Amino acid sequence: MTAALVVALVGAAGVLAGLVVYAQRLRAEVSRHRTALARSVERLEHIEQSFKRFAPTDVVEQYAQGAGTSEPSHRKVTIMFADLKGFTPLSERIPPAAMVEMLNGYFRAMNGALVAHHGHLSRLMGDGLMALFGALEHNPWQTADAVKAALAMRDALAAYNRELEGRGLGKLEFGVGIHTGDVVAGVMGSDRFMEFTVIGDPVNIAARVEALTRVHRVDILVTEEVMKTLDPRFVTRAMPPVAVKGKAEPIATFAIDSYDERRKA
Amino acid sequence: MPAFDDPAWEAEVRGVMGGMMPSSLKYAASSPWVRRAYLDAARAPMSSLAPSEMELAGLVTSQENACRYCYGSARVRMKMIGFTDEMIDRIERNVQLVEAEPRERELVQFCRDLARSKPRPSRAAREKMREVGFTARQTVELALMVAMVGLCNRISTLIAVPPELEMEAQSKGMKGLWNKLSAWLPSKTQTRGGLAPPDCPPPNFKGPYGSLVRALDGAPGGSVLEATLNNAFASEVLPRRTLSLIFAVIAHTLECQLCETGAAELLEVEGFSRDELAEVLQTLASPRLTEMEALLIPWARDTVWMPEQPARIQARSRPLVDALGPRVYLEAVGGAALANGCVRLTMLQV
Repeated sequence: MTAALVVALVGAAGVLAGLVVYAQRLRAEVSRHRTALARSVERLEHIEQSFKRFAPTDVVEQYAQGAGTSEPSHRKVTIMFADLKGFTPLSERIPPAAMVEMLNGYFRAMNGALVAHHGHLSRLMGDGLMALFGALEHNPWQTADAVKAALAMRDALAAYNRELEGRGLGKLEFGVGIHTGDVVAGVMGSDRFMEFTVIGDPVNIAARVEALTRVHRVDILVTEEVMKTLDPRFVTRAMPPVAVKGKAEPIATFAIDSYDERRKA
Repeated sequence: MPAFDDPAWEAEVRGVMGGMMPSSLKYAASSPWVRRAYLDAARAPMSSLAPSEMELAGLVTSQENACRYCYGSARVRMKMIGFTDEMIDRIERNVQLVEAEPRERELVQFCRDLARSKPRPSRAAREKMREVGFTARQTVELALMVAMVGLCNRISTLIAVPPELEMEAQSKGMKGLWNKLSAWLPSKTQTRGGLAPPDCPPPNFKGPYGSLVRALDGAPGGSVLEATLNNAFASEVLPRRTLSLIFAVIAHTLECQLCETGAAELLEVEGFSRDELAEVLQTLASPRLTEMEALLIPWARDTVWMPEQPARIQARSRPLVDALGPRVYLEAVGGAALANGCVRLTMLQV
């Protein structure tokens, strides 16, 4: 009886010891998986954070939560194109690293002005940029925001030029074109390259208007559609209508001189 | 914004908060209605939500509004009722929500979408909540949580209240078994942190935005909302007209016709016509505006979507503190915070 009890106890102790070893192994296994999972999450978050530099946060979150696509939609958006004038000859005179540094500084300054006025930098094209107002959220003041952003960009460029001159580098000049209208906004592209952007005729017109800044020798131009929405605090000058590629009628534009808070709204 | 010493207020807060005096209630103390709104919003009674659901809604809303102060406090309270760091991290890291239970996922998504309001959720969102098992009352109270927590978030951020680092550090030793267990059980009426609910009279729906209070459909938090609205619109520091204009601008930014019409009606009583309001909403300016209003109206729209970096909105607000003085600025902050909450709540009326 006692011997049987001892055998049973030894057996039970053996089983218990086996269970303890098994539990330890399982714990180690779980710990390994947890570490691996934490690393994967970290990597995923890093990718998500990086991706937010290229697409709106809402769109990135939709993709991160498993949505394969983001629904494109029609919306009224104000589009701004900005391009550096005479940058190509300037870039040929300075080393590539200095040129890239100069360009990065310019984009940093422009982005600050855009964000401060509810704009969103949508695309960089060489030394040019496309910015959108009202693409990511409802914005009833999007045209005024875009024009104020352009004026802030003018000031930011002047400040940046002082910095460049101090470093013995050339001065930058830009042209800005602004137009507003209905576009399709969404994530577009192929499996290998996708971006959140807008398409439609207003985008082409905004690009053409930016090109007209060279014709009219001004830095900021807006279309009549934008002009109609601006209050008298914006000091503007009418430019003669000019025919542009792809448009049957000449485009009437207005140069933006300044914004005077003291004028009657 | 300087902290404001008021011994009577401090004694009342310590009485309610179990001896604690949160910095936010010290910084907001110079305005009687703003400080009361903050304290009451933080302990608005809920009849259908478990404390764990209230805290979850609070954390998500504070995160969405980028309020470092409230976010830190919400984490502390969640740990007190038994959430582990891992659970909180999972909620924070929205990327893993795919793996959450449908009910938890929907709760988080609902609160996130409403706090964000890009665009404001509507009937479809309420319907989705019903599908995963939330009652109509629970959805109403979650919306109210988002509005109330959002009010505290905006006040804390816009007056730059420093985070309660000491309390956050002490939170590890504050867990109790009963706290943990009771947090997951539904009970008759609960408040966040188990605080005594405010003593507000039952709503009569006759004050400003009475129809919005009615839309809360008898939820006990309705009395807090009505009292807060009545106190705000009765203030002698921020004129009723100015507050109505702030409501109008925020409603217009979030495309809320109901709140915009409500503001227009209040403004008409003040002698401000619908045409004059239309001009303000079109240009964010008007010769009819006072100097104070001319500064506050364009600023009010910037309080709608709290930026990822609170420093940006704080920098944008600093000149207003200098121009208007801390007391008027604080009331404007309270007004904007209240308007943001109300406009989001109108999702219950559509």
